[in-house]
Amino acid sequence: MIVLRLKNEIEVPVEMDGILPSAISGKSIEEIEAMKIYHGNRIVSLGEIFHVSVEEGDEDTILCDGDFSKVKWLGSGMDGGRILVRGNAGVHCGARMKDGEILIEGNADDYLGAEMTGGKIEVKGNAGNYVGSAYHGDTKGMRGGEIIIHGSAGNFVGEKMSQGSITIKGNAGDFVGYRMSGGMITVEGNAGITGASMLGGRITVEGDCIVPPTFERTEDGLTGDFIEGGKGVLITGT
Amino acid sequence: MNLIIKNGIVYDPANGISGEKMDIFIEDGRIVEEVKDGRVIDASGKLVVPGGVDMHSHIAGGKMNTARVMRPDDINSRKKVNPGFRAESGYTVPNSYGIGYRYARMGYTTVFEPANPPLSALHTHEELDAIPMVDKGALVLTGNNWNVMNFVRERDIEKLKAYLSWLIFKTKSYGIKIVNPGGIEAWAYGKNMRGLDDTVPHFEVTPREIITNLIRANESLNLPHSVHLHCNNLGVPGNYETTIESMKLAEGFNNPERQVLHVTHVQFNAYAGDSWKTFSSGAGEIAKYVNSHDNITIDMGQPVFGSATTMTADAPAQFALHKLTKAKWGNMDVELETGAGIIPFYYSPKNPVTAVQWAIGLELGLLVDSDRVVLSTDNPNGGPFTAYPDIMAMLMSSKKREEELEKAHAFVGKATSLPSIDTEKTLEEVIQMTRSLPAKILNLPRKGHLGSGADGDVAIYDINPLETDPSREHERVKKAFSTAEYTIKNGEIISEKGEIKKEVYGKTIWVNSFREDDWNLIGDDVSRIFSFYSLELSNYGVEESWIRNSSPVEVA
Repeated sequence: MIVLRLKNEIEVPVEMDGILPSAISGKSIEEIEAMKIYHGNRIVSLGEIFHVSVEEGDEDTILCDGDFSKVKWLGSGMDGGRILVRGNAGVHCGARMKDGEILIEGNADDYLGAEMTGGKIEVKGNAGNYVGSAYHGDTKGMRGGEIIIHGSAGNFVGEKMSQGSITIKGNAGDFVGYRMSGGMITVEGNAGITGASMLGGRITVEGDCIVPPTFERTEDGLTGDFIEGGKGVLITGT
Repeated sequence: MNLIIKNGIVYDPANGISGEKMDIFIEDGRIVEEVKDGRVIDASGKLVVPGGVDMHSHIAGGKMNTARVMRPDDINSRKKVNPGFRAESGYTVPNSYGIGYRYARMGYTTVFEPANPPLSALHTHEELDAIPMVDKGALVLTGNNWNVMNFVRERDIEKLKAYLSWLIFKTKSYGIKIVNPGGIEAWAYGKNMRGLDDTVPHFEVTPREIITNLIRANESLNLPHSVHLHCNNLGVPGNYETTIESMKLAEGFNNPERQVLHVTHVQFNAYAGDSWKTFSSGAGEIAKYVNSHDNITIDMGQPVFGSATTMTADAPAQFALHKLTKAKWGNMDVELETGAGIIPFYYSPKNPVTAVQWAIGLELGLLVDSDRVVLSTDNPNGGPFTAYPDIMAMLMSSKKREEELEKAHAFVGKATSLPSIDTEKTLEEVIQMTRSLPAKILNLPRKGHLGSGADGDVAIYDINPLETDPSREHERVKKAFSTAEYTIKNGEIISEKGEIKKEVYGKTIWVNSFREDDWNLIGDDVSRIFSFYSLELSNYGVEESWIRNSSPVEVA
């Protein structure tokens, strides 16, 4: 298990795309320290920012120990292995990941698992906006895999998602499943405006939520959004 | 500084040179007969041709930026850092630097923007100014302009001429472009023009009258370029008849120097059938007409499989496309003048319609004589200009086309004649379609050839044309044309093996059509129309001093 610890507190964000379990496996500590990352607009070696060490554990695991909220793109494009964050994770964590597992013990920032196609992300704390969403301009959000958030999430959960599942044990903000075309979102607490422009898929809100007037009540629950010709299903607790 | 390109194998169709081993000399940015000394480039065994000329490529103007805003997915892709130079990003709508660098890497040195809305002319020139590496120019949109339609209705050809020469001068444009004549004005009322004899609401003129009178005025003004026409009914099955009808409007006009009508991105206007189910190719009929009339030229508008961004002043056609694909849609109105629509698009080989569109473009490229058809993708409508090498290879190799056809939907075999065409364009013909012909159509005497006096714009490709069979070795041809060994602009090496060596800012070529008396003739009419504009007449247009490297062409 490779352990990364911040040498000093960082003000300017660091971009960690490319630092993946599959990329570091078989590398020595020196080789890992020499890997290049962006620190602001400068290219630096990993060793300048992080203290790298090896501890006992699975070989394909990276442990991020500390507050990683200024570390962006953690595990983005990940294709296997595990990343454990003992603290908070920064924006775009697990974006476009294909396989593997990310466990965040603190909070996650925006764009958690955006456009992911497979794998699993679990957050013990809260998550920001755009969980499992599409990036602006893209036509599809999350396309597979699983996201579980034990706390609450912000706005645009599962925006444009087409497959996979998102579970939020706390509350969610507005526009849950906006333009989603498939997959499943479960909010165990309350949510804001839910299901707007939904084309397909299934949303369950166990608490309260605001349903747009463009949904019809059928045997399955609420279906819509009919203004888009959508066939989505919305189950609400109230 | 002088430059000597030694021992290259030169193709220069305009001067009748086809695969001759010879030296090219450049002095003070221009090609000369000989220089004594200077920097020598050894081009032995390499192909030496004039720098490419793209006569129809959307690279600037209001809708480019709107498309960039609409497509963060596109502009965020293909990022590239060029140490010491500007960064580039984007695929179908790259940033301005990316446009310049990519053209330079491909060996292109002249690019014309075919849609300059008069009201946005300043924006167009600001963007052209930001594009490095190439010489550029713009054509002004006139087919839906209130003044133009008024003068056409009043049958006042003198006022029409005066207005056009004032407008070209005011907007620092190079020539006249017509897009869906009358149709964009009708779009303001939710309508479109479905034929040449439909009447434009409130103006009581027809597309037929607009096109004919603009050709008459253009020829009478003796402008360098002919009328540049995007026909009515673009993207509608059965539209090839409208296209041929529009081409017939040029009959009766003649110009010994050049064509009198250039019909652009004809692929989008070469559809037979009466619905998307019966959709088929009308390219054969169009090719027959174009080949038998020497006052018409066309460009292909070739789609390439993959991502594209459709952007055209033809706003009603774009709304129809939006309804068809449900993709995101941008609509623009340019008050009293024109409009625009923008939609991302994907040409899939598996989709019967887009596969047939792809085949129709190639049919036009293959069936029309090489001195009448220019290679274009109507960038980025059919795909980005970076696909030109792929299209060049397809025109030269029936083997490559067979390989592509295997991937394409079987409907192509039914709806087009592409599988049965075994024509292979020669290297010389493809050089003509990308260099000398577009330069001739635009009437740029210093472009597209390597004769004495031409601009020192040269592309050297790492391929020996005497030892390469483009039909068999199409992959090599494509690779060679994708990245020029050297791109030389005005005698300076600007790109070498894909690496930017020097950033230069080319000329903006425009026609100085200013005539003293024009304003006296049209001042009252135009001022009256200006009471409807949200802009003052005094703020309209572009001053020459605002352009980075202004290069006016005088009208003969």
